[in-house]
Amino acid sequence: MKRLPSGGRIDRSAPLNIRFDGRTLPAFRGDTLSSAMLAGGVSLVGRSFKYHRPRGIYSAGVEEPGAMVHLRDGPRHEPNVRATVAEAFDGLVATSQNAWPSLSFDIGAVNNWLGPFFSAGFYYKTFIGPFRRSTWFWMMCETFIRKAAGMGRASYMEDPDQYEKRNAFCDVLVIGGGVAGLSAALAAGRAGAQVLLVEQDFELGGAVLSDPVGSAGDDWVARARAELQALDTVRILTRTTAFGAYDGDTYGLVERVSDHVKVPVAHQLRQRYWLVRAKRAVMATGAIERPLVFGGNDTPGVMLAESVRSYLNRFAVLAGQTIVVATNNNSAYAAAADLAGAGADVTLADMRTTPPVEARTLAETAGVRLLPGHGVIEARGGKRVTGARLVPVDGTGRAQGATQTVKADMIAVSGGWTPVVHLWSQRYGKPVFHGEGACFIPDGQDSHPLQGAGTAMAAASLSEVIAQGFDRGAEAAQAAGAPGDAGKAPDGFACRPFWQNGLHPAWAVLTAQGKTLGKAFVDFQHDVKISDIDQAHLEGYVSVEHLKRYTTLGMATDQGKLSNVNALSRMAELRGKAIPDVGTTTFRPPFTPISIGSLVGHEHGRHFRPTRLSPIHQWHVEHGARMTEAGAWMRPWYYPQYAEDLCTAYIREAAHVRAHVGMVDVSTLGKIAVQGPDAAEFLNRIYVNGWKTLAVGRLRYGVMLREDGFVLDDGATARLGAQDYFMSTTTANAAKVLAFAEHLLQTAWKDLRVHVTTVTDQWAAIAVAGPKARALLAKVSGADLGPGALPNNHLTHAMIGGVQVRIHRMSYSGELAYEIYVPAGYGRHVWQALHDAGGAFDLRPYGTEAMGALRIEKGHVAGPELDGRTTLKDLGLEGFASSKKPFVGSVLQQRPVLEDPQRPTLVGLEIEGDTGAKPGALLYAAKADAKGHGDGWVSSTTYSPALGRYIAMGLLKNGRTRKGDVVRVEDFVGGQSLTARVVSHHFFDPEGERKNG
Amino acid sequence: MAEALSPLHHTITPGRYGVAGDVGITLGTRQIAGLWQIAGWQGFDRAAAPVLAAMGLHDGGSYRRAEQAGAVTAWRIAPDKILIEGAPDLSAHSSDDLVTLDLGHARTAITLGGAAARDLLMQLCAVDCSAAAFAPGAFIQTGIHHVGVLIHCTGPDSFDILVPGTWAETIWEALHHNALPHGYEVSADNNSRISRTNPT
Amino acid sequence: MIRIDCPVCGLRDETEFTYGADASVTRPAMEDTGMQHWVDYVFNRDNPRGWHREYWHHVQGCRQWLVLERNTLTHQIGTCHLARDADLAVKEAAK
Repeated sequence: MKRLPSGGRIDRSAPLNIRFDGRTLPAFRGDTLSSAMLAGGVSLVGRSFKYHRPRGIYSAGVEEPGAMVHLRDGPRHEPNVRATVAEAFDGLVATSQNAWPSLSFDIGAVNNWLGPFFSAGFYYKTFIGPFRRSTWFWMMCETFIRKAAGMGRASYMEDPDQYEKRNAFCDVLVIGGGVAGLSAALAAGRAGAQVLLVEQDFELGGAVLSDPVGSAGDDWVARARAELQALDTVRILTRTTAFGAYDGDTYGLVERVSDHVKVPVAHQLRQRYWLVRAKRAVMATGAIERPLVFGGNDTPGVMLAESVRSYLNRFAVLAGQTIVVATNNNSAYAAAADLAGAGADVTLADMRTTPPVEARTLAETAGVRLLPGHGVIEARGGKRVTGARLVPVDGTGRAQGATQTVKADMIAVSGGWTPVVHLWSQRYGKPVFHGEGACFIPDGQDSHPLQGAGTAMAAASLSEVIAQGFDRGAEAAQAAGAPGDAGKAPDGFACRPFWQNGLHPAWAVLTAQGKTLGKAFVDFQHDVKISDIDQAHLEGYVSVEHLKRYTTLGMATDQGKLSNVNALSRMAELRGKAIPDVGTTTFRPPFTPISIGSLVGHEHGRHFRPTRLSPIHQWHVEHGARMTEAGAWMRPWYYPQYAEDLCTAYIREAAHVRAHVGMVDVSTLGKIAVQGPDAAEFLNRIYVNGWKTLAVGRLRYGVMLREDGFVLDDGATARLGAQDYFMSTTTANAAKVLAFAEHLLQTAWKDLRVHVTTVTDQWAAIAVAGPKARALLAKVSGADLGPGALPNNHLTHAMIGGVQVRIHRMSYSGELAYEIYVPAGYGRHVWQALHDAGGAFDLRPYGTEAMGALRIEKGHVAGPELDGRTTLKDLGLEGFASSKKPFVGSVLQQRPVLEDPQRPTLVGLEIEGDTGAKPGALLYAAKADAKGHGDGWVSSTTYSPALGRYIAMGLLKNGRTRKGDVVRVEDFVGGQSLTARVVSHHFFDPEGERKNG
Repeated sequence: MAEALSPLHHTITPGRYGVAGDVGITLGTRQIAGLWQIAGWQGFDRAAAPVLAAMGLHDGGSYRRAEQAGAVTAWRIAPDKILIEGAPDLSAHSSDDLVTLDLGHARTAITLGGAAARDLLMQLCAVDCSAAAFAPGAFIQTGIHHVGVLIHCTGPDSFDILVPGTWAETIWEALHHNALPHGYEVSADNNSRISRTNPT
Repeated sequence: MIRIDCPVCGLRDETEFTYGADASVTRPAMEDTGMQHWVDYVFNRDNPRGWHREYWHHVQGCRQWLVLERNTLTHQIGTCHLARDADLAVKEAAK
């Protein structure tokens, strides 16, 4: 392995400092990690997934199954990076993975000798079968197996980099920047279409990049690139992978903005996730070379032939000196000839007995030793290939005579080519078999907006690649409505023997008895051997989908990019069928692994979801409130004095409200303007109670049901004008109620002239509660708020701090209380005005925890009771329901199952002892066993300062008849066991005297 | 009279943010003067006509195009529903055929400009905001950070984003994070404390 | 990604919408007290393999409810109308 003194597409003026397992590698800008490894003589890169066998570099692209490493260290550490697509950068640090204690001496390699125990279906047979009735044995073993078999380690540190999502729209998306893709982009771009051309590599050119520098293809690519760059309708993204094709002609791309530098520059992104809506797309994704199957075919030093050629011509790295090339087709002849031309000793074993003259001539002219009708049956060597055992073979790849071992430090293989059809398959399902290329390709239906072109469609020649690319590009542009003319397709250029020609469909070289010499792998990443497929067949697995899952073939992160056809051909042979009759599997996104960070973008941490803030929020923060999340809202939980904890604070705050006066920010309540001549009728239908008699300036508490008869929400609605109502909902259900109202009005109730509009953002709301509430408000507003002027359930307009506000008299806490509605921009101002004037009344702000304590003392239902499983009767609210009119849910609430007298109903619970109950705790009769679901559950719980004890609300079977009973309160999660006395849930001031002041 | 506080009053700090070099984005807020919604049913256009005419408006625009007359802008946001900025108190126009609603405190106006403004929008909303698809005078209703907003294209590279006030800070922060790679500026002459001016 | 052509806002991603309900069922009249009618309306659903009419709500747009045709087999999207005009549109299509 060595770097040649000249040639390649690397920038020798830009040497890079990169290290693998502590060893410095000679690298230049334009290298990948794998080309630098080969240039630096690294042959052993990692250990395999299951058997911990030595693995080296197998390919030069995304299909790489073996050369996976840990890239970078610290918080940017990344596991399972394919060295073949990791662009070299100055300061790159990589380490080997899945090996312990070291890469070259790995204890896990003992699995290699225990191989028979790890054969196909190992997990099912060993752990599921004999221990069918329990899982403990599996659970115990899994821990160890997972440690031994595996991939790289993820970092537990927070990713310091920024990722971003970006939406895009285009007429034509061209995926792949090789000859077919460039042709497609030229045609579509010339026609005037908005074109997005994406290429996963950092350079355009595709297969041309594997040709020697200065080949005819270079000029062709340069001309195409120049023309595209001059078109302002064409955007080119390199380092960008199209990983998914989805419904609605949307495509997911990941652009690796800063993966090729050590650290992104300040504020620059690491990666960008593009979500592209394309009217049409051309999939010019090329093809991946296929391995051959023989004993030891995973030994470091066995590589794909075209990849070896790519390292030679693109990176000026001669990956071996004594090379055996094994093939069943023409394309490997170019590799053999180029390698011989670079000074390697090359033997070419062609499974075909009579290779075409053109190929023969190419090989012989270059000084390649040609062995027609031969195959490699075994690679010799441990951590590195030392030789190849060659044997004459028949048409099916069976040995036909004596083997001979030749010295070799590299075996370059080519089993033909597999078109990259992943995106098409993600979108449209199973591809169809193409006989000549023995491969699967898209079905070519014209109606699909995504069309394949070039070698992805098994094009048979360069001119066909160009023609397909150009035609698909022109058609796509036209279908997308582009006005112009694509002109004439570019001319071709001289190139190597084309991959498609002369394939002989045999991939495995076996003994005359059909056995392998040593382990012969089909799936290199998941360590699936050809013998595993044989065994699955013996056990009756005939479906390709079952075989895949049983053997885990194709289920590694490479999704079987290399293994698919070789496995199918073996299955077909075993079943005596043709490959297309065995069938194939489909692909799912992503085409190659993508980082979670790129999908997440900015939506993590605090921005995992949006946050909603009250207009008064900043005051609470500035005054030391501890905040809590209530849905998307942040709300003041409690306002600690000195070092108060939650319990001390809320008990003090709640007691203060009953003794003096408190205020709480209730801006989070849902507020809906209900307007129109039929507004009263609308309210009459959506609430269970009647609304036709509500006068202007009055408000009323209402309950609404869902269509199925369960309680949806409750709240007060005020009549502001003749056809103008102001509905309030609970904080949690605001969006649900609005959407439901809109649905009814736009579908079943189109006869009603009503509009509903959210005004939650328009109004800040402050509840002022306590015996001194009236005095305080009268002072700040100067208005007459006396019981005669503003009775319960009335509203009035007033000025506070120079701001016009609306004061609703209603009570949630049970105290004399008012809700003040303030235009949002003045919310903080009015809150502050109240606070400033409040000193004389000992006004204190209180948080949601105290608010909850006060409402539980009063027995008001809230979210924990309105849980979607409770009816009016369950909650004791049936008295609100009008019998004179139909309302939403009025029929279905009468279903017999909901009328069952045994249903749990709302009760109060006085907890015995000095510990509170936990919400969700189950209720059992005092003498019953604490087994099963019990007789009910605790819904809300608090310490009651008014009663001086812990209380709770709950739902209890036959609750109405069990007042006075003692029940057990069992919290199985916390291991808490209490007893409680069943009482009315109207714990405090059941007559409701206090709200009158 | 007290001044109406913008929900962004403590969030916005004038300054230069993000990558060095050219300023790709300018962000700020502007005051909203009189924001009203008028809505009706069958015969809405007939009922709305005199109200619109009184403000110098012709027809209230289309679902995609705002109508502007002096300081008054109308957005036809849904069937039989128009949002109007720069309107005087419209409550007197309420009738059996038309309802009016003051939303002057319900929205915050964020201004966005600069060569990268369209890029920033396309990072945040799933709508084609290229110059060809979203020209001056057009508006869209879409989502930014899961919140429904109205974006009005006010010039070749300038936009007003009307956001619900209680979500304004979360949207501002989303704009901030997404604008950093472009480099952005919040100008010092921005009076971000005040959310609205009183038209009367 | 389903893309929905909202009659008010234009072609938008499904992320701006929420799915609402089956649009092939009709809500009984308010004064209908027939238990079975309401049970059918709320609970009984066909599970068609193929075209289906559905309510979608453009919550991050014009807040209109739409009636959308969606193919449950292929995820293809068919016609899309405002729910308030949907009866009209169905009648037009039948003509």
